Amino acid sequence: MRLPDDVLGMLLLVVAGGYAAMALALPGGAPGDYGPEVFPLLISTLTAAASLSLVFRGLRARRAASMPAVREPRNWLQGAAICAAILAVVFVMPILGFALTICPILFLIFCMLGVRIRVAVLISILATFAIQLIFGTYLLVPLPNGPSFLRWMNF
Amino acid sequence: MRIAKLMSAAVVAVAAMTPAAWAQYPEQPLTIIVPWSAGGGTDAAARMIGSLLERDLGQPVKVINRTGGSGVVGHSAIANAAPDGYTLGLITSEINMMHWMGLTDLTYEAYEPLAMMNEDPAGVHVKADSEWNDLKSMIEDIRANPGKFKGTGTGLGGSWHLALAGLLNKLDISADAMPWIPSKGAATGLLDVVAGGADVAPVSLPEATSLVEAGKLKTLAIMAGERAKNFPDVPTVEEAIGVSWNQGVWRGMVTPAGVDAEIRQTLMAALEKVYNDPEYVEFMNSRGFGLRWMDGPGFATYLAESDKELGAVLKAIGLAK
Amino acid sequence: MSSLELAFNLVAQWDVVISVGLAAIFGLFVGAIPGLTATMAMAVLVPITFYLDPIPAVGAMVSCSAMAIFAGDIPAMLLRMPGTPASAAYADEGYRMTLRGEAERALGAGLLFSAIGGLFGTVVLMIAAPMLAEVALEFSSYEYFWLALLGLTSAVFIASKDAPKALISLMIGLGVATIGLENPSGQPRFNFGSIELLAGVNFIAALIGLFAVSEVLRNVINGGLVAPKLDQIRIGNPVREWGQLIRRYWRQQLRGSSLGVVIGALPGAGADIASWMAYAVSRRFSRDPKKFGTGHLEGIVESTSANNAALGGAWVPALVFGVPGDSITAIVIGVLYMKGMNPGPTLFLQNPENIYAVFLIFIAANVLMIGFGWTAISIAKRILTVPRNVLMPIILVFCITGAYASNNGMFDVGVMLAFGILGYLMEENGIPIAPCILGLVLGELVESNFITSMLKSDGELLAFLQRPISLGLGIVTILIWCIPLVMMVRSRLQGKALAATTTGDH
Repeated sequence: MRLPDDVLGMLLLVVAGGYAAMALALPGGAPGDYGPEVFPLLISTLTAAASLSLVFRGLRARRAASMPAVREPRNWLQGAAICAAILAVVFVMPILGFALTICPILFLIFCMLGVRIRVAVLISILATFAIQLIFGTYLLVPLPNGPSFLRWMNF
Repeated sequence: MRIAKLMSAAVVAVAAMTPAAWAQYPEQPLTIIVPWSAGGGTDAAARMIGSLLERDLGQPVKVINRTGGSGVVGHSAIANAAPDGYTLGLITSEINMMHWMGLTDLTYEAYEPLAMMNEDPAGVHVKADSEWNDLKSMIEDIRANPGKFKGTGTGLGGSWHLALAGLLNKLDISADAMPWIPSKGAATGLLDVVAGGADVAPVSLPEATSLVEAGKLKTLAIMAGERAKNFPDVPTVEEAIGVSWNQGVWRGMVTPAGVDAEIRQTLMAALEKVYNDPEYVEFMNSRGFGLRWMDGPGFATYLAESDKELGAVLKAIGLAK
Repeated sequence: MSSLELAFNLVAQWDVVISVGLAAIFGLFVGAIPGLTATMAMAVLVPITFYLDPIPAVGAMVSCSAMAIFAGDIPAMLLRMPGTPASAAYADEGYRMTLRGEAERALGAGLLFSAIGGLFGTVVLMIAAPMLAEVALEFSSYEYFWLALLGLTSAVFIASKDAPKALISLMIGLGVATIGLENPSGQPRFNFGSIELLAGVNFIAALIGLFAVSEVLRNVINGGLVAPKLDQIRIGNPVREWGQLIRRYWRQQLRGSSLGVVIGALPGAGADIASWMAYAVSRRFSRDPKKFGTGHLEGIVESTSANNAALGGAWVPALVFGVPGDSITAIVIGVLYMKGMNPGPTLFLQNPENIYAVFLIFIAANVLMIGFGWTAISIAKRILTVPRNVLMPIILVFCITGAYASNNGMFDVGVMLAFGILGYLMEENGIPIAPCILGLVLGELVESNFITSMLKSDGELLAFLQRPISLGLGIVTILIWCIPLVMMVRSRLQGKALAATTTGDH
């Protein structure tokens, strides 16, 4: 998603403005004149200045704009699928526990990226097992357990 | 997240109805949630308590840190855990401050108190070559020069800020007379006093010990009912200026509200054993931490009283919402 | 017997050797996994030290932290995914060397100079600890403010190709750092009512997102999965090449190590800040700054020396005053207390053999690092032969688990995803990621020290220049800012004059 400099600058200008507006809406800080809004306002000012310079540069370079790289829509879909998979983990893992969430998701991603099914099954099971062992058992990370009738899976 | 929580609660509820749940508690590993970061004093105490509990209950005890937001994140995590008796928490005095400051709706009522395990009174620390040699001269100087001297040692509205502002308030000195310089923690604040950036750091004694021993700081008084065993030369506030003022931070074990009474009894008994274990006593002494015990009901009464008291101080210094 | 002999006897015990060795392997492993930091490794070690005697307990922590900081270089250079925040400064540089087939050279240099930096830090710790600690105690918020500003300035040197975009990246980092409660006013900011965001954006989760997740996305979306295999040049016995490297880069090494020790000794700054500043210094004073960013060893040498030297530096205030120099020593101090080796001046006077034993372990750990590290490199470089469509999903799972482990909550996995997408979009649009990380690291430091200084001085700006060290730092900062401006104006003027004379000739 490559944007020309002027569009990018414009966009960042809006972001800087929104951030500044939120900063101004903060309740005045307790310690005297240096409240919580001072530093954010400084940040938004500098961002705005840099964005403006991008806009001007972009406008000047408009004529010589090069074509953005063309990407396969399929690749975009795969990227979106990866993000969706992470999001799914966030919501599903507390319910199903670590192993039951990670293993199938890993398998699906492998399949999507063109790994042979037999290999995908094998690696997703092995990797899940190994990571649970490393993080859960050796590094004492309290990975979500999942439902109690599956507790035997946590060693 | 709420849906996930509901569903996981439902799963737990279903699991709890299976006959296996009626077996002897505890039959799975326990977790202690600590609202402060790994390596700090609260974390060390929790890990000590955890390893001794493990011995007594015969199940592994994991300590996990949920940090940030001045303790709000971790305290909320304890309150929101499933009340199945397998998640405990080590809460600290901040629980009775954050709701007054409008950071959260969470209060001590979200927990079932099990035991208070420790309390550290605040000490009044100043630079070693400061002109103040006792608390009295410091107080009079502040009274005579409002706004000149600065205090530090924690964030705005943190325990140490309240300890000092509360004392000044009790002596009818306005909170503005000693502006507070927020600092990230006690160590940062103490260093700022040593470097000459601020004048007083009213933090706990163990936090200042090594700098006092190194001759960089001196302690004028401690805010406790009696002198500390490790520091017998430091007078109490009452001895120094004739006004009684006790403030400090404490740590206590709790479960989320709604845990079965029988499980609570088991845990309380186990914690009492931990508290009296020589290993625990030795550990607390070696860190310079103060020992203070309260059982579940006693801790509950204390929580309610301290909540009211801190609320009053926060209102007086204008930080309560 | 002298205390040094006593110390030798303390160290030459089986339990010490075994615990130091095991902790070294553990540290290498944790450091090499993106998302697991040296601090986390230390926290895991704490309950184990309960069961150890004082010397093996402290020895385990020393060797574990040193290995973890080095091991962070391995994924940084092989995959452009820094294993610990301290390796983030030169991840891009090292990865470019790997792309050229020089992974072994980059990693070997990283290993060698990490060990030398570590030894340098140890020597300073042994000789100058009390003195350096006194200097560190002079640092108040004014001095830290200038230091943080110097750190931010290094962003400009790190990514000077496109100034407005580097500035925007820095501002994104600083802006993100303002989220949450941890600011001088104690007011929640930009958390949109979320309790999790009250704690601010989790730095580790953001780092994993910006570097690792964005890299996975880039591989998938930009078709990197079918990238040609990277043939690596084998350098054989690394020792032969190392002699040459030391001769060529001893200056960078010395400068990086010195900077690292000093920054490490300051309680408000640690190995990650040291590493960024060293990289920037290296570029600023380099004879060929144009080579930076193309896979050039010079900056890597200086930076990796600095982050390992900072580790030794961080022990200075910890041992002398019981004040942690960074988050790692904060944990160490707890263990020292527990083992009855209470830090403070008395530690050096009573039973000095204990402290000498710690120094000996420091030296041993850094020497050990060369052997252990080279083995780790030989194993880890095989990762380059794994097909990318198998490797990337597995890395993704490590990222998820690492982000979760950073604060034991699912929320941080979400944060990681958000920053993964942000990182991808930034890179796509030519906004460098490095300054953003620097903003995240330094945001709190800059703001809190500026605001608290203003509060202390009642708004008097001159107070920033009234203390000797802050005056010095202030002058350095202002000079660094002014010199490029003066140079620019001068070259413009000269250019104009030149243009005028040439037109005059016609």
